[in-house]
This record gives sequence, C-alpha cells and structure tokens, in this order.
Amino acid sequence: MQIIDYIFSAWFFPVLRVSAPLMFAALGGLWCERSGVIQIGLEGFMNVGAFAAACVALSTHNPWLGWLAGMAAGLVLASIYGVSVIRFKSNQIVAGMAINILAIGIPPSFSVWLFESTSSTPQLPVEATFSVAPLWILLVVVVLSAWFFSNGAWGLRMIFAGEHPEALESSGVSVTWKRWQGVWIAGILAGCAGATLSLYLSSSYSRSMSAGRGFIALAALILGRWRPIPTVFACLLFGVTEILQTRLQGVVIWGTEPVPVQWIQMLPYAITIFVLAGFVGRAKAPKALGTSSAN
Amino acid sequence: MTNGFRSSMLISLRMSLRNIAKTFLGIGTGLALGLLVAWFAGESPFHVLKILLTSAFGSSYSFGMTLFYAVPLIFTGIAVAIPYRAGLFNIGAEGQLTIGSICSVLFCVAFPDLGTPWAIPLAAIAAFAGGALWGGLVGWLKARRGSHEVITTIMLNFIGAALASYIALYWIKDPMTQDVESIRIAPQYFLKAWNFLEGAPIGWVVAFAVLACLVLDWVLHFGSFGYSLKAVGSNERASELAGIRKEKIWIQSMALGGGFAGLVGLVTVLGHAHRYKIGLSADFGFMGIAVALVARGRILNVLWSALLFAALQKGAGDLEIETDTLTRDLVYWIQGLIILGVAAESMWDGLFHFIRKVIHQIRRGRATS
Amino acid sequence: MSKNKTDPQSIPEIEFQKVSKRYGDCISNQDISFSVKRGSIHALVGENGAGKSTLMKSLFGLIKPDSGEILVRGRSTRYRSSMDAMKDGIGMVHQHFMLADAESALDNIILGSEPGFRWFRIDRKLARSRLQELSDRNAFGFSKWDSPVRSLSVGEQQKLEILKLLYRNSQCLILDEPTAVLTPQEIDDFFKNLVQLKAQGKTILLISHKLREVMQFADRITVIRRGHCIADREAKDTNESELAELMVGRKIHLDDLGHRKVFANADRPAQVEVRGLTLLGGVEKVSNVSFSVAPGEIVGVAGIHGNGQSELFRYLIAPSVFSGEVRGNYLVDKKIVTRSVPEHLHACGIGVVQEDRQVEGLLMHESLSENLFLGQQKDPRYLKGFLVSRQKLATRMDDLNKRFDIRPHSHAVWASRLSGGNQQKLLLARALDHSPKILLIAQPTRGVDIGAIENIRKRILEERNNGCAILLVSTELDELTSLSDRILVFFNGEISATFQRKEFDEYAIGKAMGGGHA
Repeated sequence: MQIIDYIFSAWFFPVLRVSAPLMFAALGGLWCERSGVIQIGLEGFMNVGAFAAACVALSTHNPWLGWLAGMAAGLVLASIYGVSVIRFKSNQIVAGMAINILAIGIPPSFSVWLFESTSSTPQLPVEATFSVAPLWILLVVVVLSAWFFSNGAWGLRMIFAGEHPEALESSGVSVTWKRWQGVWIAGILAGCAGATLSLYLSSSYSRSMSAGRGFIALAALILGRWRPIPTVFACLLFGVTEILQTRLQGVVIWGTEPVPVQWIQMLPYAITIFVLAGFVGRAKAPKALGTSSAN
Repeated sequence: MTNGFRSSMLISLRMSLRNIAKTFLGIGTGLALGLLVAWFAGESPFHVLKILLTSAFGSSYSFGMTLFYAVPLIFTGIAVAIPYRAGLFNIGAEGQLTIGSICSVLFCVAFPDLGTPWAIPLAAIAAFAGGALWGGLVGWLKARRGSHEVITTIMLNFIGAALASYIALYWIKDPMTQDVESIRIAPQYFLKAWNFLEGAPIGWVVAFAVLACLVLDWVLHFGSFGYSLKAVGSNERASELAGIRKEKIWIQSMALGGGFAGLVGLVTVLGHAHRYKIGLSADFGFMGIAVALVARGRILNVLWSALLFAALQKGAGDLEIETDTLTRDLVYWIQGLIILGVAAESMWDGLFHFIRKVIHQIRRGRATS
Repeated sequence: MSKNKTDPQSIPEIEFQKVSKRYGDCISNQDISFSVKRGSIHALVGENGAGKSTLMKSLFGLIKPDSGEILVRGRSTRYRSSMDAMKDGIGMVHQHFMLADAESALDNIILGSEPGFRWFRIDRKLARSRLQELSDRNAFGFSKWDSPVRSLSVGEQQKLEILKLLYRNSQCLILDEPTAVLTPQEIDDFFKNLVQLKAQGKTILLISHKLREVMQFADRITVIRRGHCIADREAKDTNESELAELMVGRKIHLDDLGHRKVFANADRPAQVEVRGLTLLGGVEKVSNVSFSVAPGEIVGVAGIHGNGQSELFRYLIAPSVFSGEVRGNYLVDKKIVTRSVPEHLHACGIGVVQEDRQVEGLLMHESLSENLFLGQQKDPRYLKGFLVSRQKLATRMDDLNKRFDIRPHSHAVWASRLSGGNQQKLLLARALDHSPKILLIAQPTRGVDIGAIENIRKRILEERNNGCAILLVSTELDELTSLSDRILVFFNGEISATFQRKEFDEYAIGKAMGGGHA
C-alpha cells in the first residue's frame, strides 16, 4: 500500500499537475494544425494568458474569472494571429514568431500600467487560486478532443481542412471558417494553459513564466503524431522530465557535490531534442499544413 | 541592349521597387500601431516619436550608442538571414551567440599571454567557431533526423544558456564575486573604442560588421553557394534532383549563420564587459529574427534593418526614463507589429492591385472622353 | 426552342444563353450559347485556356458570369456557390481528384453530408450500406469503404468521385478530363459506367481533349475556341480531324509529326544501358530491369502510374539521390554511372525533362534565367570559379525564349507566371541547352494545350533525327505510339513486354500495362 501511495503522491499527481499546461497547449495546437494552420505562437498565448489570469484573479479574488480572462487573452492574441495568416496570408512561422515577440512586451507593459512594476505580479491570495479544478477541466477537454477526433462531423471536417482543403471546400464547408475555429481553439486552450500556470501551479505571474513550454507542447504534438491520445501521453512524458528536474536538485549522483543546477535546468529541453530526434524525425504532418486556404 | 533584355530589366526593377514599398509600408504600419499603443497608455504619439528619434540620433554619443546596439543586430540579423534564404528558421541566434561568447572567453582565459596582433582575431575565431558549432548542430539534426529547426533551436537556446552558466561558474569563475561571472580577460583582448563618438564604446567592429555584410551579400549573390541556398529555399526537391545536396546546405547555412551570431561576443565580451556574465546579450538573438525578417532575408538589407531596430532599442531605453507609463518593453510591441506589417504580403499585394485598378480606370476614362 | 413547354423531355437539362465572362482585359467566355439535352452524354472540347473550365465553373456556381443566362431545366439559375448547384442536382468531378489520401474512402465521400446525428456521431454504418447500394446499382464493383484512399487505384478513386455526386442525388454530372489518368481497360470500364448512368436518365457533360473517346461515346459535341462557341453538332455529323481543326483553328497533325529518319547503321552502340537494375527501398519497386537506348532512337516507357517507371526515371536522372539499395548497373557511353551525381550525368551529355515540372523541375518563385541554371550548376559556360555568370544566363535565356517560343519572352519573369505549356517548353529548352547526346524525358506534354503538344513532340522527333538517344516515359499512349521506335511496358516493377514500332497495338499494350499477356 505504501508504495502505491508513494507513486501516486510523489509521481502521478505531480506529473499530472505539471503536464496540465502542456496538455492544454498541445491540444490547442493540435486542432489548429489539424485544420491546416501552423501554430508556433502557443508560447506567446500561454504567457499572456497566465498574466491576464493572474491580474483578474488578483483584482476579483475569483479564480474562475481569472481563468476566463486567461482564455480571453489567448483568444485576442490568437485573433491577431488569425488575421495575419488567414486574412493576409502571411507566412505562418514568421507571423507566429512575431506574435511571440509581441507577447514578450505585453505583460510588462500592462504590469506597469496596472501595478507599477515590471516583474512579477503580487502574490495571489489563496481564494484566488485553484486547488484541483483545472485538472477536471483538462479531463473534459481531453475526452472531447478524443471523441470528436474520431466521431463527430466537426472533427472530420477539421481534419479535412488540414489534409485536403479543396475537397472540403467543394463539399460546401468553408475552409476559412474551420481554420479560424482552429486558431481560436489554440488561443483559448493555450490561454487555459497559461491560467493553469499562474493560478494552479503557482500563485502569481512572473516574467516569461512559460519558459519554453509552448514549444515543448509543439514537440509533444509532433511526437503524438497530431492525434489526441498519443499527444496527451507525450505531454505526460515531458511532465515526468520536469518532475525529474525538481527531484534531482541537491541530489548527489557521483562525487561529493550535488549535480550542478545548470545540468538539471537543461534536462527538459535536452530530453525534448532527444525524443524528437530519436523517435519521430519524419512524422506525417497534416498534408495541407502551412498552405493558404483553398480560395 | 536588346528590347527583350531591356524589358526584362524593367520587370526586375519593378519587382524590386514593389518589395521596397511593401517593406516600408509594413514598417510604417507597425510603427504607427506601436505609437497607437503608446497613445492608449496616455502618452502623445508625437512625443514618443520625438523621444525615439532624439534618443537614437540626437547627438554623436547617441548615434554612437545606436551603432553600438546595431552591430550585434547586424551579426544576429545575418545569423537569421542566411538560413532563411535556405528555407530554415533560425530562432537559435540567442543560444549561438551565448556559446560563441563563452568560447571566446574560454580562449582568452586559456591563452592569457598571447601577443597583441593575434589576440583579438583569434578570440574572434573562437567566438565564430563556438556559434558555428551550436548552429551546425541544428542543421545536422534536421539533415539526419528530420527534426524541425524551430523546436531544436529554441531548445538549444535554453541548453546553451545553462551550459554557458555552468562553464562560467565551474570552470572559469571570478573568485571575487558571488554572481555568475567569469574572470576578467587579459587586457590585450580588449577592443578599443573610437574617440570621435564621444566615448561610445564603438571601435573598428562597426567597420568590420558593415564590411562583412557587404562582402557576404556580394558572395551570396554572385557565388554558387548563394545560388544553392536560394534553390534549396525555393524548392528542395528540384534542387536535390539537380544535384544540390540539401542536407549539406542546411548544415552549412546553419553553421555559417551560427558563427556570425557567435561574433556578437566581439562586441559584448571583448568590447564591453571584458568577461562573461549573464545578461550580456539583451535579447540580440531574438531581435535578429525581426531584423532578418524585415530585411526579407537579403543580407544587404540587414544593415539598415539593424540600424532601425537598434534605434528602436536605444530609444526604448530612454522612453522608460522619460515617460511614466512606457517601458523599454514597448520595443517588443513595435517589433512584433512591424514584422506582422511586413509579413502581411497579401495586404500589400491587394493594395497595389487596387491602386493599379484605379489607375487603369482613370486611364480608360481619359481615353474614351 | 420547343414550343411544347409541358413536355419535360423537350426542355433542355442545361441551356447556356449568351454567357460571357471576362477577367480584366482577358475575355474568357464570349456569348456562349448551346443547350444540353437531358439524359445525353454531351462533350465540351477545346484547348487549355479556351474557356471550358470558366464556363463549367459558371454553371457549377463557383464564379458568376458577367452577362447571359444559364438555365437548368428551364429555370434561370443564380447560384451563389457550388452548394446551390449541388442542391439543384448538378455535380462536378474535377480533373485533379479531391480526395484526402490518408482518410478512408467512406469519409471522403460523405464529407459535408454526414448521416446520423452528425455533430455527435456520424452513422457510418448507414452510409456504408447506402453507398454499397449505389455502387451495386451502377455496377461499380467497389466495396473497400474503409481503406485509405492512397491504397486505391486511380480508376477506383475516380469511382469515389462519381459516388460523391450520386450520393447527393446529382442528376447532371460534369466530368472534367475524366480519362486523363486511366489505362485503356479502365477507360472501357469508365464508359460502361457512363452508359449505365445515362440509362438511368442522368445527364453527363464531358470535358475532354481526347477526341477519339469523345467521338466514340458522346451524343453531341460543342467546340470552344478562344472563348467562343465555334461549333455545336451531333457526334454522328462530324469526325476527329474536323474537331481538331475546329479546336485549334488550323490543321493539326498529331499523328504525323514529320519525317522519321532511318539510320543506315542498324547496330549502333548503345548510349544508355541499364543491366539488371534493381531498386529497393524506394516508393515504387523496380526489379531486374534491363534495356538500352541507341543514338537516333526513342525508347518509350509505358505503364500505369505506380508500377515503377517513375522510380526508375527518378533514379536515372539522379542516381546518387536514390536513398535505397541499388543492384545492377547503369551505364552511359560504356561508363558506369550507377551512383553518380547529377552533375556528372550532365557532363556526360545527358539532358533531363523532369516528370513533375512544378515539384521536381522548376523554382517557381525565381526568374527563368535562375531556373536555367538549375541542373547546370557546374557547367563551365556559366560558372567561373565559384562565381555565377548571370549575364550569360540572361542572354542565353532570352535566346532560348525566342527559339522555343516561350511566353512571356523575358528572362526575368518568375516561372510561376508561365502557363503549363510554356513551363514545359522551358524544361525542354533547358534540357537541350548544352546540346546533349542523350535525353531522359518524362511526361513532356502533361497539362499542355494541343498547339504546344504538337510543338514539343515535333522537337523531340527532331532531336531523334539528329542522333540523340532518347528515353521517353509517358502515360499518354498515343504520345508513345507516335514518337517511339520501341515501347517497353512496365508492370509491377519489371518490363513485362516490349513492342517494336511496326507491331504497335494500343489494345495489346494496354493489356500488358494491366499485367495481362499478349
């Protein structure tokens, strides 16, 4: 009994908690890329979402309102991205990077306007944070994604928007509208990811708190071959590496000194590269990913 | 010149003019939107514009400082632009310049007694080599394993930062401080500043950067390597069947770009801090992306694109001081918006199309009346 | 027009009345008027760019004509989208299939009209039974509903496209170049299905440039040239050569391309030789292939797409790029080049016309002169040391533009600005630029209008007469029969049959392509 208890409390739940933002973001990216739009702006969406969530939760003392604010912020930023790549047909990677750059500047600027400081927001009181709710929301999102991927007409049409947009268009469904839906979902879910960061995993927002998670989510998506359940497992894998990172701090492996903290810091990123290079390599992306819409 | 040749040149000219116009429109839009944000924050956009301009070009010292910021941006702009021509997105200039910096410091520390004429060039080569290694790694991963460079470069940015900190802290630490700083490098490695810019720490590195830009542009434009880059960027499959080894091009372009990113160490380490420490970079790597994208991947354009962003960077610093509500982070807003403006191809194409239609209608109207 | 308005049989299914459409200065359709009878097979013929597609798009609701009326069953239509046309019973099968490779046949067909409570759960079982019923009723003989499309043959994929229309109760089917990618046997099958559909009262509009088929199966034929309706007559009142002449405006001799020089020395040593070549690990299998090509001879390679010819061709033009295992030998001029790089082949005097011009042959967003350089990067005429002589490329490109009539005549325009025919001419011009002794050509006239087809085929014959050794891979059987001295048929990665010129027989060749024996 004790060992099961240990596994659950020391590994399972922490891994789940830590993977939660990755899963939200990766699923958001999944629907976006499935509909044919490359999505490297998850990092920016997440960061801005985390900030917005923290701000609103702080002022209203209500984590749910904070959560909604995170979703809204992600949605707004995603809409800017959508206008660029769908309406103006900008190169999607370029526009994605532009959004990430823009997103670096947004939280500090607002932070100055609201709190007169550019670093972290003030600490959130306990009632403004979550104790477990995001995990339930995550469960719902995962189940819905998995279900609609194989069963509903909506999922089928999203898939076609990314595999063969002309076929979808000629069957009377607007590819442009589907791609907007994909972009918005990415924004909303990445915003949820951000809110999870600032309202659940910690209780404030600190500068650049997403720390590359948006890109790790993208790697998880590639690893999961753009399918919901494998992607979720990939996120769990990266969650494990993050937990490993905290567990290894101060631990002595060889010699007398503990492992230098820099090596531990590198861990998630290095593992991402190894996994990407080792397993996936030539995964099959949605066929029409990155191309502009049929019309 | 035959008639055919002349019409061909006219077509090329028209295309170049269109591209220039599109770029300017993009920059203008981005700037305007950024000023709009400033206005929402409560500052007059004209006031903000004035601060930006005087801060960047107001005095020789200001101009010197702008140049000081521009040089690393030229290097990182080149670092992003070269792979961009081959169709690769080098988001890793940040990591490449970090590794380049730490390599040059390692070199300086390893050879503290090296003679004057050799010291700086060799340290520069060490910096280039470090960056080239870090960049080439990305190219190799893509060539051999198909890993997408957007993810590997970003991961390597984080890994590079950690690695450099480790080296600074464990191998060449400065025993006098608690911070993550390396020991000071020997004096013969210091880059001297020019005097006529009133103390701005700018020396011959500027000339070197500009020259490198011009030479590189010429070589890429007229050389066969440049052609191979362009071909792979345009159509991988056709290039491969024509005998161009796309894997080799990927590795070479990433290594070359990474090397130039590493040269930023010349400015920050040899020219300024004289040691390695965290925060040397001030996001040059990231901004290099903006520089290269606005330059549309053309090396020559990197020169004035870097100047533009350096002016923004310098101006943003003063914005923080001279206004209550704006911080230097506004520069990220403006950068992002400028890139979006320049990237919105179809918006500008649509605009030109519309203008052409209007002119057409006017001409038709005049002809019939 | 019939006076008896109440007789449904006399109201034409579709009637075009003075339909016009222009794009800027370019007139796409001008005053086109003709009618299509219900329950008939009506063919629309014309060159690429003549305006057939524009007209059909207007019918199908994809674009709106500037003037004129389109009546469907006597009612004027104002379709705002293809969905309106579909609701009215009009469906279109495009030349390039709209099927997602990775998805199942079933999903591809029901997309957009999914049965069941579709937002929650698509009732695939219901769809499957309905489609099976449709397939049986029309003798399609198809049942692999859950297989991914990429595992199906081209003929089967086309059936899926038609099923899409039948599933949505289309009464009128517009088919754009339906037989372009089918083998003779599949074409037979296809027309059997068409006749079956006609018997059920469906109206079929056939867009085709294959005059022989049109003559054989259509009831009525309309010819479009340069946006105008030039002729509209019953099939029994016309013939192939009359149609060709009407299409182009002058006499066309596709079967008679000119004089075939007879070479005195019948035992000329082979320029290109392939001995026991086996390619493993590529997209298609190639096993134990042996053949040779002598100077002044055109060796044609026939085969259904996917039987190894494309893989073989890709290997022959760039041996070093092939990523799998190679057994056997490839010789040029008696020298082994089994693993050589393309530059080496170029230096040996080989010119190449790649199979897929946009994907394998051209840099679409670069100028013509930049494209001229591709494949010739080590050619000393253009490369001095490591510098590229753009001046020389530019002048040479202008020269080639004139000689091959590539429009626009400028070397600075992007390749994407050229029409398909001009792009193909560009590829040929580039291949011939260094006066090669050997030509490796694939699909030289795919997607090219009839005037340019004649032009290109004449050129190829000319080179043959000049002593060039030519390998020609093509899916157009009449192209192979009109040009080749010998035809090799590929089936399942091997050469299954060889035909000499005097024994060319389309049926026998078609049978060999399908795996049968003579």
